[in-house]
Amino acid sequence: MQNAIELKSVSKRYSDFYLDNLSLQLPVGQVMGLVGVNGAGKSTTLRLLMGLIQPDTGSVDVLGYRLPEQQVLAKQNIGFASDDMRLYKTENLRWHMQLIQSIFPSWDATYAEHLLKVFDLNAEQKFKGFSHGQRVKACLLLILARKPKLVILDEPTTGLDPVAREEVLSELAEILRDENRSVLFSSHNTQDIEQLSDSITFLHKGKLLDSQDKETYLDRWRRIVCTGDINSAGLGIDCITDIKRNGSLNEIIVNQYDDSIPERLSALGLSVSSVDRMSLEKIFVANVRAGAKA
Amino acid sequence: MNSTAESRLQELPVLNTRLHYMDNLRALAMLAGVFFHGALAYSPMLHNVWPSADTQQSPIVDVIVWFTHLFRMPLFFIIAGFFVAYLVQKRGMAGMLKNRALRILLPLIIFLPLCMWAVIAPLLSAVASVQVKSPVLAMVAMAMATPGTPPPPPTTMHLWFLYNLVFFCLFTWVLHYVNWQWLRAYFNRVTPLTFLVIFPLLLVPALLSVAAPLPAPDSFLPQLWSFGFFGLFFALGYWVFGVDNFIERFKAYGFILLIMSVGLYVLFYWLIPKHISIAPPSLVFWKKLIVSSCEAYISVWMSVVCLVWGKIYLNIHNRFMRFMSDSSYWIYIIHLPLIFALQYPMMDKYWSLLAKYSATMTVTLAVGVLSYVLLVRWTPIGWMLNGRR
Amino acid sequence: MSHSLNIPLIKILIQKDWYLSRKLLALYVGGSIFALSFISLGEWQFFMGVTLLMSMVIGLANHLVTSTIINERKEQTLPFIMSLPISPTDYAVAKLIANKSLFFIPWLAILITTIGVFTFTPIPDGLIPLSIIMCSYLLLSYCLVWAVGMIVETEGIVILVMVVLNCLIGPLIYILGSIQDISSHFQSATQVWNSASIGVLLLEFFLIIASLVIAFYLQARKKTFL
Repeated sequence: MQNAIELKSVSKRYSDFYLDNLSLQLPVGQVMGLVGVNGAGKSTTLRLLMGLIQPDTGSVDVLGYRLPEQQVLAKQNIGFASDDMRLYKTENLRWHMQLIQSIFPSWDATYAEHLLKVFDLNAEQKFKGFSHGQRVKACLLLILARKPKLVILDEPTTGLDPVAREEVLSELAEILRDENRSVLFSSHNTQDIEQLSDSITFLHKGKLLDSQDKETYLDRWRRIVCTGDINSAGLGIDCITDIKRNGSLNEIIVNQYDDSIPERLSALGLSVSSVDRMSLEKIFVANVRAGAKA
Repeated sequence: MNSTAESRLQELPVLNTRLHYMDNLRALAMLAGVFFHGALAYSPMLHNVWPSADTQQSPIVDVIVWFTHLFRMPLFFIIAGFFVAYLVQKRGMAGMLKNRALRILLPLIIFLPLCMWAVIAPLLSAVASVQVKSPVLAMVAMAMATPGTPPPPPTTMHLWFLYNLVFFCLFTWVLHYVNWQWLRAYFNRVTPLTFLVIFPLLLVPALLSVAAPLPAPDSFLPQLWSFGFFGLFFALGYWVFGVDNFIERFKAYGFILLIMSVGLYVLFYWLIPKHISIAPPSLVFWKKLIVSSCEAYISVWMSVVCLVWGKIYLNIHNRFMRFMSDSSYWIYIIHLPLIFALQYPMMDKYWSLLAKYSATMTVTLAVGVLSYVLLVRWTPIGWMLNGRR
Repeated sequence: MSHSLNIPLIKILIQKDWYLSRKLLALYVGGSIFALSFISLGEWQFFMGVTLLMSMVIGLANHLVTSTIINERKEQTLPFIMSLPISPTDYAVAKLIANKSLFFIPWLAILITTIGVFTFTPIPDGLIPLSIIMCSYLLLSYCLVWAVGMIVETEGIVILVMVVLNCLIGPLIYILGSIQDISSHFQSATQVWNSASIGVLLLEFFLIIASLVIAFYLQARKKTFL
């Protein structure tokens, strides 16, 4: 099996949303970060991958199983948590742990106890009294202790305080050492994705904007600051996603950078003062703005 | 359960975790029931309502049996509650329910139809064969001669205690979701005197709603008053399990409680009707209040006396006692049909009361013990009733 | 769905629902025993006990649907359950058995008690067919509420259906009373089953089966489960 996840030309129409011809692959052992604003289609994509939604067209394969038909087999080895997932508030974490343990033979009790300590959770406390952060960590514990082959997380770090976020991220980094485990997680928080993922997938308004390995992807983007009159220059560079002007000062963002671009700008009479790599957050914003203009 | 119950568990003998005096008291309460039912044939008070009522009667029978009647089953339910608390402690709520379903519900389902048949068959044969008919037999004979008379509603007969126990066990489960901390705290520090004065008062409303002496709640429809009387004794037993040295606290009161109970019983016996018919006579309210209060106090005080003296004198374990406690359940289940079957033919005999009573008891106990040894002790019936040895 | 049912997990889910409903069940079991113990106290207590008993059954039925189906969606525990290796059909089967078993046992107890009370008391046995039809109506109501709960999973609609079905109890008794073939036997000493009473009963059972079949059909066809 090459790909843990394989979506081929998947589309799904709702009254107010259209997931448009999405094709996506996640190779085994890879971590993919799914980026996009609210309503971009992240949750729909993840739910397709859990067999909870049937696509209108196209095919969804997870761990070699066709969804939603074979979802029972696929879900044996998928650990899924979303930020709108709640546990039974009248019961405590221990009860949930026993429930999961009774379902999954792969449950690692020692690891579960380790996670209890690391996440600083009280297994005997009822969920009613759990904070958001504790809830997220509890869900993660229930998933991670059963050692699934594929982990799918919808906004795992959203709303966490910095300490809880750090605990969650470091434990995620820990499980990613297993080369056979694949992870797909969505987040608003580009820092998390930059920190954890091997590849990045951008969704916007139900469309796939980009899907590439992280280093290559980040390397493609540059912020170029230059002075001069752009309007009269007529740049002729088609990888520019955004230009901001402030008097004669220009900020140009390109998404297919190569070393010839500064020379070409100089040749057009512009004086290039800096060429900077961009953080994922900046790329995210630029990408969304470009998508909005398109 | 709190720490006191845990310490109670540790207090139990390690090898054999049975509380012998409780086992032995329970066996005595059951056997007392056998003697009680055997004697009712000679009770003037029940002459009109007891099927095997004999022409031989004595008021002494009434004086003795109605005294024991007031605390025999209350004591039994205290012990039942105690063991249910023990089971909950040992096996959890689900384990208790499972265990009680096997020991109580299953025997009830199996033996009630058999007992019904074993009571009705001799009754019908007695209607045909007995010459000196009791009022009940005469009534049955008349009803059978009049077509269209509806049959009397079926009852749980002498197995009503099993039927009620089923409900009490269910209530144990239902009520354990309620927080009883405050009551438990009160119960832990209640003084013996306060308990002996207050607790009987809780029983008075239930007793006020039924005839005196209190009848058996043997209807298939559960009886509210039984919950308010026997149910409270069951609850008492349940609580007693969780309280350290509850019974020891009453050690000093044993003898005086006995004397006072006898004193109250004189008053009670003086006030109650000496003959009961199918529709029991009603008492004026103040009399009824006194009678019910006497019943309540005697039942609690004498139960306490039995527990205190049982713990002192009956906390013994030997083969005889073990045999008695194991066999009593079986003997109790089968005793009533046996007693009726034995007493019907004797109704036409001109034997003395004592001769008839001893013959009934001797044969009933002999058949009970023999059938227990031959048919029950080593068979699945014994496993069901007493657990696998 | 093309796969066979995941029986072990369905069992676990049923036990889970039983376990989560334990307090609810205890409440209604306690209430029902209390109601039963009232019945033999006297005439008005009989009617109060019977009414209380009926309320307990209806209350338990509606409460179960709300707590095990509607709340699972409302309190967002459904994503957790659906992340387990089950299909929507497995989920429906588990909910069906968990709910129906919790309801069926007290329902059956009441049916038997009712028949017993009529048989062994002077109340005319002619009322037995009416009682069985009414008990079956309670079962039918429950199945309909369950089916609606499974299909729409919306609290408001389920409550509306509950209210409408409970409101129909009175009219149903009225209609049965106005059917000559049924009502003319109310006072007879023996129960009389004729084409009219059997017809009504069969109709009820047909509707029970139909509601369950439709619920399963729609459940299996749902394109968006969450």
